[in-house]
Amino acid sequence: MSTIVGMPKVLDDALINALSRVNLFEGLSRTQLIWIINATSRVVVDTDKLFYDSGEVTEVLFILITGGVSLEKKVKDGWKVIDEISLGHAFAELAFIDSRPHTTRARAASKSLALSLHKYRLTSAHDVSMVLYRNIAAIQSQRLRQLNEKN
Amino acid sequence: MTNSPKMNDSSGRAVDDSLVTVLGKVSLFAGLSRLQLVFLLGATSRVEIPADQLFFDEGDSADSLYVFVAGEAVVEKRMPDGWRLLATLRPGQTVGEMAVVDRSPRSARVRAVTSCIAIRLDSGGLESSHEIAATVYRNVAATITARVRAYTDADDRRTE
Repeated sequence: MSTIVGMPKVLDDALINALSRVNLFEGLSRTQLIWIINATSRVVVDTDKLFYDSGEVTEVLFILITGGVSLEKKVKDGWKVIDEISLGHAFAELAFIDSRPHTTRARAASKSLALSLHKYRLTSAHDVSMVLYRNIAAIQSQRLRQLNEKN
Repeated sequence: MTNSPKMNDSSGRAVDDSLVTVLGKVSLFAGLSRLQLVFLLGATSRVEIPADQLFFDEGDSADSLYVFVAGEAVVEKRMPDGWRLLATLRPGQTVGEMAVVDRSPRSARVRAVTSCIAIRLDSGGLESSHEIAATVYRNVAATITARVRAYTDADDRRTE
């Protein structure tokens, strides 16, 4: 079960610096990063609990701040780890874009803290959403180019 | 009887209604109002390519996408034994949207089969309005996401 901790009362310089190094936020100014922090909630998930389950529909983007997260896909005899999220990286971006059910579940490998950004928050900030959507598209574009090369 | 007022695009040119209608049917521009389409049109340039000439070649640097307005073109990728046809492009279709977001070199060439007319939109022109660019980039992300999902769904079917 996840716990929503709420928005930070005091802006944390270390958090701003950490976000500035996330490829998803490349090109955002310090002011825009502060806007992102204020638009997000902090979510704490205990070890072995889920950020979201396979089949669930969410329109939330997560950015991992502490801990570790495994993305797992259901197979015949249980769950197979298909990716491990590193600190500072985002997850759930496909569902964030197309609002389709998750095809994987996101399990906290250790107690984890993530920022969660709901899609509707972006409708009020065109400058931030322009950069964020462009970066998501660029990340997925690189992924698609790799898949094209493999196939 | 009075004539309806003519609209001008963001460059002050008289608007070609038929081009606005073409843009309105393009999935990448879904969610944009007619006024936003008119503005977007002003950020584009018109490109005419004779038959058998290239819009761009594989490996070219890139930061623009094309919306086909007239004619027919093909997307081709270089293979050891020649050029392989990947897709045929017709009016209303787009090509090059990945380059607008990741600035990677073109991964294939686009060759005009017949004389073609297209609208060219680069990232600088697109980003002259943050609101329009946010919508278009979200649509680009959705298009690319659908292609990524098609691969991962196929992988799932293979492992079932």
